[in-house]
Order: sequence, then structure tokens, then C-alpha cells
Amino acid sequence: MSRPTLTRAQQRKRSMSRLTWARRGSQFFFAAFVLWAAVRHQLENESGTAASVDALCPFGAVETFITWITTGTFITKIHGSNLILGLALLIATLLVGNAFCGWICPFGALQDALTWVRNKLGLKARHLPPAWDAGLRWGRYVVLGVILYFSVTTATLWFADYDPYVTLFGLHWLFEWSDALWVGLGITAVVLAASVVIDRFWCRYLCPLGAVFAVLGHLSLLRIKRVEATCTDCTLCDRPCPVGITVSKANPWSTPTASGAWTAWPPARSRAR
Amino acid sequence: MIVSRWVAPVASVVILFGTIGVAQATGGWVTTGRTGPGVNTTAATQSITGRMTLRQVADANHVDLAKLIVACGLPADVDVDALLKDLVESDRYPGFEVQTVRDAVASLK
Ligand code: SF4
Repeated sequence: MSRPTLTRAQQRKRSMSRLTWARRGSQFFFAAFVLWAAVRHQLENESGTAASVDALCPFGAVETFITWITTGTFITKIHGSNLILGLALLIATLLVGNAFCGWICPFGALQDALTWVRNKLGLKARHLPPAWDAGLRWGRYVVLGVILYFSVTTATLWFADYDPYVTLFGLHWLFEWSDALWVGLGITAVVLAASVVIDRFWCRYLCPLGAVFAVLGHLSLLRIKRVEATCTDCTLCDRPCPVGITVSKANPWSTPTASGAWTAWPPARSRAR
Repeated sequence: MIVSRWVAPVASVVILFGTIGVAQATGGWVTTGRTGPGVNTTAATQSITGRMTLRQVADANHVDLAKLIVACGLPADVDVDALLKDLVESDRYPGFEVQTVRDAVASLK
């Protein structure tokens, strides 16, 4: 029996599906790795040789950068590993764009998992009006600015007490409870609840690392270009992006920040420069 | 130029692990500030935070708890299992900061 010939759209969907599964696998691997590192760190707390979640976060490089440049020292809880991870992401983003958010970030993975659960429950996502959405995305830069200010002035990892990623994946709430965790847990609960309603709420509106990627993405050698003359407006390229970047409306460049947009890429008749 | 959609993710993961590998090979991959080979005292004391207790600080840095209390200028009856940030906020120990503990640990090493 011969297999039915697939249309181009079907071929594209099948290929996207493969990449989506690979992306899910990658997200699961990195999230599991970070949880394993957190457990190891908590259990080996006395010997102090296991890396903490703080030490494995590339955003630490951003938080300590100004202090490092001006004084030659790191802010508290930051180590060489943070700078190495930051450097790796800088190189990768400048060369091929931001694949970190879609493929590696454990907190992005968690939000995607919440979206998956919501979809399984048959609940619909909420979408803010475009003007609100565009305005609130500036929140990432505000959060980044506040963090940089307090990181420099206090010379500490100031944001750690409020960071939903560190709060959740650091596992302090499981192994070394203290009342000081309530603030971080409260913020985390609100962010996760909002992420159930709005896909990747934290990535869209608040993530300071997302703000850094948004800027770096514009400098990337590899970007998505929509060729208007040949675009068929099938909008398949919009679907995988959890933060709602409409590649189909790119004019002509689109920057896949915090997204799974690479899953759809190249969109119909699109080019990278 | 059209490139495969696998390029960006695969390249990103390769660059990530490649950079970590090079850093490990050259000794640049340092994930803890606590005492150990190649870690200086300044870096070690930087890992002391308000979420730690005096007992944890003493254990982690291998210094005597009683000496640490004295070096911090704290009274002998201080709660060694209280978080440093709680001691800082307490009215009982004016002038006490997390940095006081860092300096004390550095002086005891
Ligand atoms: S925007 Fe932030 S939280 Fe979201 S995936 Fe990127 S780095 Fe992770």
C-alpha cells in the first residue's frame, strides 16, 4: 500500500512536530539536571562542593557584571561558572539567536508544562489586548534595571530572594525552610498562576534575562526574515511561539526571543541573513 | 541564506557545553566559593549570606564557632542557629552586618 503524498503544509507540520518533541526533550533534560544539582547541593551542604542553582544560572553573569568590571570581585553567591555560562549564551545568541529560552531554560520549561496541563484540561489561554501586551513587555527592562541597581549597590545577589526560578528550583523550601522564603514563594505562586492563564507570563512581561536576550537578539547573525513577496500567510510559523511573537507579521525581520519560534523556522519562504 | 531549523538549538547546546568543557579544562569552572583547591578566602567568604546561620558559617568555613562569635563582636549568648539576616535586623546587635561575619571568617583563616 503506498503512503499518501503529504501536502507541503503537512510536511511542514510533521517536521515542526519532530522539532517540538526534541525541544521538549531538551527542556526536560535541563530542568531535571538543575533539580538534580539542587538536591545534590542541599544534601552536600556541609561539604560545600556541590554547585548551587545560583552558581548554574547564566543571569548571575549579568547581575555581577558591573561589580566585576569596576571592582574585580563578584557579588555574593556568584562564581566563575556564572560568567562562563553568561559568556556561552552571549556567543550562542550573537551567532545563532536565542535558543536558550525555548530549549534550555528550566523556568521556561515549567511554564510550558503549565500551558500543556491547561490545554489538556480544555481551558483556553487569555490574551491581553495588543496595546497592553506591548506595553507590559517593557516590564522586563524595568525588572532588569531594578535588579542591576540593587545588585551593584548591595554587592549581593539581591534578586535571589524574589526570583521565582531560584525559589522553586533551588529547593530551599524543601530542605531548609525559613520564613524569609515566604516572599519568594508568594511571588512564585502569583507568577505560576498567571502563567496558567497567559502563556509564559513571566517570560513575556517580567523576565530580566529575557530582556537581555531581546536586546542581544537584534545583534544576532542568524535571524528570521519573512519574504513578503513569497509568504503564503499560512501562519504556521506563529504557532509554536509561546510568547506570541507573530513571525507571520515580521516586517521583514523577526527576533525569536524567549520563544519556540525556531521550531517553526524557516517559515514558508523565509530567509535568514 | 536558508539554514536548517535545527542549527540554532543544536549550535546553542554545543556552544554551551563546549564553553563549559573548555572552562573545566582550563580551571575556570568554579561553582562554589567555599574553601577548596584554587579558591581564595575572599571568594569563600563571599558565599556567606543572610540566609546562613553562624553555626553553618563556622562549619562551612571550618572555623571555631566560639572564635567566630568573638571575632564578630557578638555576645556569647547569641543564637547561633538564627539566620544572619535576622541578627542583622535585630536591635540587640547594633552595627552587625553580614559583612561583619565575612570579615571575621577571613581574619580567622
Ligand atoms: S524569558 Fe527568562 S524565564 Fe523565560 S525562558 Fe527565557 S530566560 Fe527563561
